[in-house]
Amino acid sequence: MKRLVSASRAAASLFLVVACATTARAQTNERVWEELDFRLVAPGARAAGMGKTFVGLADDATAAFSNPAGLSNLLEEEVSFEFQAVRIKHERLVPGAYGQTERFGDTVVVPSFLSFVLPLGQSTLSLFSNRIQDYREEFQFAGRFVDAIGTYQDGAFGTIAVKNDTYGLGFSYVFTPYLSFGGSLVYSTIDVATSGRSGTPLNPRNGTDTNDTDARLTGIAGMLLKPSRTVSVGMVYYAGATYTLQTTLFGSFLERGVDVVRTGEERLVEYVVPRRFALGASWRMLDGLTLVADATRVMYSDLVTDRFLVVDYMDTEERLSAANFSVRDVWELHAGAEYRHYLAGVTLAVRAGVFTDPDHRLQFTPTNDRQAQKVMDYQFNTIDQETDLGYTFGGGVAVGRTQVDIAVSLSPDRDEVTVSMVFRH
Amino acid sequence: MSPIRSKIARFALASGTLLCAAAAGTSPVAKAAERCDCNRPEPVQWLVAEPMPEGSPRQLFNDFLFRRFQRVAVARDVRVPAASLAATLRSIAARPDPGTLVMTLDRNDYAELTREPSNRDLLSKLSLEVANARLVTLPLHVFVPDPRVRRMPTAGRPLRLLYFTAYNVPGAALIASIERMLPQGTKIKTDDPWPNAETLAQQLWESGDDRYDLVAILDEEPSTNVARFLKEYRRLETCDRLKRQQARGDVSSSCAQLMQRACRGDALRDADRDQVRQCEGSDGPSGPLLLPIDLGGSTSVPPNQLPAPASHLMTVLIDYEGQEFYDFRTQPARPGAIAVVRDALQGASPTSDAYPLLMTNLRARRGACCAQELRRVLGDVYIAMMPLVAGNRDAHDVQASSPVGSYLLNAVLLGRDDALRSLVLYGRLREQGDEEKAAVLLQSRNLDLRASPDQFLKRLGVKRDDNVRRQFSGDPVTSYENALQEICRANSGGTSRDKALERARKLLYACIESNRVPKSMQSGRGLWSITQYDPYWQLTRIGLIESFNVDPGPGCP
Repeated sequence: MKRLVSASRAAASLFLVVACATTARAQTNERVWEELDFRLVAPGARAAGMGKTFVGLADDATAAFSNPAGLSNLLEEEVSFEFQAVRIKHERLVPGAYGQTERFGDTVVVPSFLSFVLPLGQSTLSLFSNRIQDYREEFQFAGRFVDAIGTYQDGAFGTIAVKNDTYGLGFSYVFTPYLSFGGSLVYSTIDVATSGRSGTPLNPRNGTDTNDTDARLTGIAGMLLKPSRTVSVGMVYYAGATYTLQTTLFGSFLERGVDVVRTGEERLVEYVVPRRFALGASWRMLDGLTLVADATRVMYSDLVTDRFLVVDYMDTEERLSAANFSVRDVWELHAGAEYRHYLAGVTLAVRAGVFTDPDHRLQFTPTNDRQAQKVMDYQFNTIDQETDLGYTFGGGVAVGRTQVDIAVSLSPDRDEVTVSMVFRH
Repeated sequence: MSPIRSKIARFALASGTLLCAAAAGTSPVAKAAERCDCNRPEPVQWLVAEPMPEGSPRQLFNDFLFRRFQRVAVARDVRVPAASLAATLRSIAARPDPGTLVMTLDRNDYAELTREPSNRDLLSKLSLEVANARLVTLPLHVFVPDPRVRRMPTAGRPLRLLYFTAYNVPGAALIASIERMLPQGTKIKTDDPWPNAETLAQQLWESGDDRYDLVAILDEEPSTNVARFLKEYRRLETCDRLKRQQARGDVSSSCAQLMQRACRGDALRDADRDQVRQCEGSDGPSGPLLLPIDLGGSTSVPPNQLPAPASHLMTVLIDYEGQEFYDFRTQPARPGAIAVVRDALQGASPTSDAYPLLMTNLRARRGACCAQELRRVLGDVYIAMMPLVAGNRDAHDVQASSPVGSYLLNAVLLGRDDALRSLVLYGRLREQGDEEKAAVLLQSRNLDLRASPDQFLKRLGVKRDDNVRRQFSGDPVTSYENALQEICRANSGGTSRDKALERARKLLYACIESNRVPKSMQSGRGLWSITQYDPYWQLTRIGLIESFNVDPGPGCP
């Protein structure tokens, strides 16, 4: 979910690729975004405070995105807003002897979610807007000779700005007192503005620029089962989206020992929001205590498509292709709890949670002993794949028909503060 | 002040009831009923004396009661100034009209009127009854069996009173308070020590000079003794009724078996009461009636200085076997109220036909003929309580709580096997910390608190909520909130009232199905919650609104 962090690593490594000096001086600029995180988790500070867990609970207006089947929980109209402040911490591999890294990033404050839910008999309609990615980063690091591969790696610099918005029409239907199905038709847009260079700002060697937008229709399908009054189990599938963007090459690229200037050449690349499948459960253990847990399978392997552009070593002699690159699918685990204290006319809640963020950086698989493959191996496989652990906590208050929640999420990749409001009509 | 002392004080300061029962068959209303034409309801003329006491007309005639009057005699409603009431009566006497009823709500007027022997004579000759003619205030639930209605105590014979109380009320103080409110010269006799509850029931049922005339139950809740007493009384009553039914040769085998069981001394169950009703057919049972009277709020006024009413609040009453009764309540705001009451009673003779029996059994006083008409008349005129609610309770409290206590307790004690109201009363007792009484209630009503929602709704004769969405959501808060909104919508009037109440009822059934018990704070979906969550009570509230057009609240936002 919060792949942004590790994504930043990806971008780092890829810009590190850019840094390849001698033999590998090119960069895979399109790979800037392949490690970026998406906010595929449930919107809303309530879910955020509980370890970003909501698939099995899905009992407010944010269910339109997290699990549309949960919309059936609502018996009256409800409106939800969310604002989020994110401090991005993208760890990039910089040239060095021991796999040193540096962190880059930015702070983003945006209105991130809005939904309106309208119950209609056994059905529910929902309109929502959700920003699943708003990434900004500016980075720059110097080149250095890397003993491990016996070659010089260029420095790199660049900027990344990516916005991925979704606009959805959600629907749910209650089939039995125990079972609800739901789905959302999602119109998803991407707006990318990236620029990456190897070398230094005063002496850029090569790179890519991507300034493009695209839109796709995608969807979410969910189910919510309530075997008892206190337990509910949910499943949701997010279809993902693959956008086609145009990237422009800049500078000279080493091909068969000769620098070839390709400035202005255009290539089509694909920006992928991966598919996701999640299972979740909630247990209202006490009147004032709810436990929740989700397990989410994120198909990061979707990120490497046929249009995966290998910027480095375009030379066919190096025999590098998309098949050399991969991102592993991962299971994310989320768990949390909410304790509510009821007073006359006011409910106070405190929440806490934990979640895992398995590494999903771009990986390189060598297929021969050529130098280029050694360089790629260094660039993409140096940093150990670790699973990050994130912690969340938050609180909420409901007065009358208004609820305000706040949550803080801390993880190695990004820190977030989320504020959301819910209004019942 | 301890709770008990407080209750005693309230008891002593509270006042009670006018239950004008046209006791014997010589009652003018009874005569009117006998003369009425079943096929052509007799129009009834109401003469309402004006001006009414300050603040009272609008309240006494508010809503339901006033409309009811109008329904009865809308075409012939005549209002006369209080000053000319006597003259009006004389003119009516010159042209006797059995369909004429005069109602005055100003007890001073009536007291003034009846001070004159000629007026009393005039009244006795007219087919005329005056509501609140004789005010008897008793801070008690008063209970008199049917046969007593026809055998009033004769002059010189003390009224034998039996009272139940779970509190340590000094007997002398109780008797003195009651005697002070009864017509002068009326003596009350009690036994000390009492026999057991079963024996008391038999003594009340049996005739003879040793019989009891009245039974009073202090406070709103049943005690163990009361429960046992009522149980035994019901058994005796059932036995007697079915015997009479059998004598008419109109008893099925199942009814005969029931009679045998009842007369043999077997305890009756709720289901038996249903069968009794079936056995008795349209004639219906003539069971005893018990009117609970709220003691009102506490006060520091000594018992012999009861405050007087300055305003009157009409509140409910009781729906028993399809009968309706009304409870007139007043608020003490001026001194000397008890004197007013006493004065109003001075003209009444304990030996007169209109002896102010505190309780009557309406069913026994009507035949199959004219039941509806008689019920309306009796409902409006004869059964009227005027307890003074003492102390510092404001009008809202009085209106809100009085009907509730009456409604609930009557439902519990007099059958109507209404599990819903029984549960509400149970909840009230628990809230008040009266665990012992709550336990008695559970036992006496065979309430099973472990009953599942399905069982409970089945007992109410209610189908499960067919709203799949509500069942799925299982959110009692929203359903409850919506039910309250519907109730308020119904209260706002309009033709959709019944539909709104029905919607509210369904929502409340859904709450019950969600298997959540009444509580001061009910949680729901997410962080939403609601206070004072009690779907059982709200269902009762709907019943009150539907039956009496009285909403005991809470109010609408």
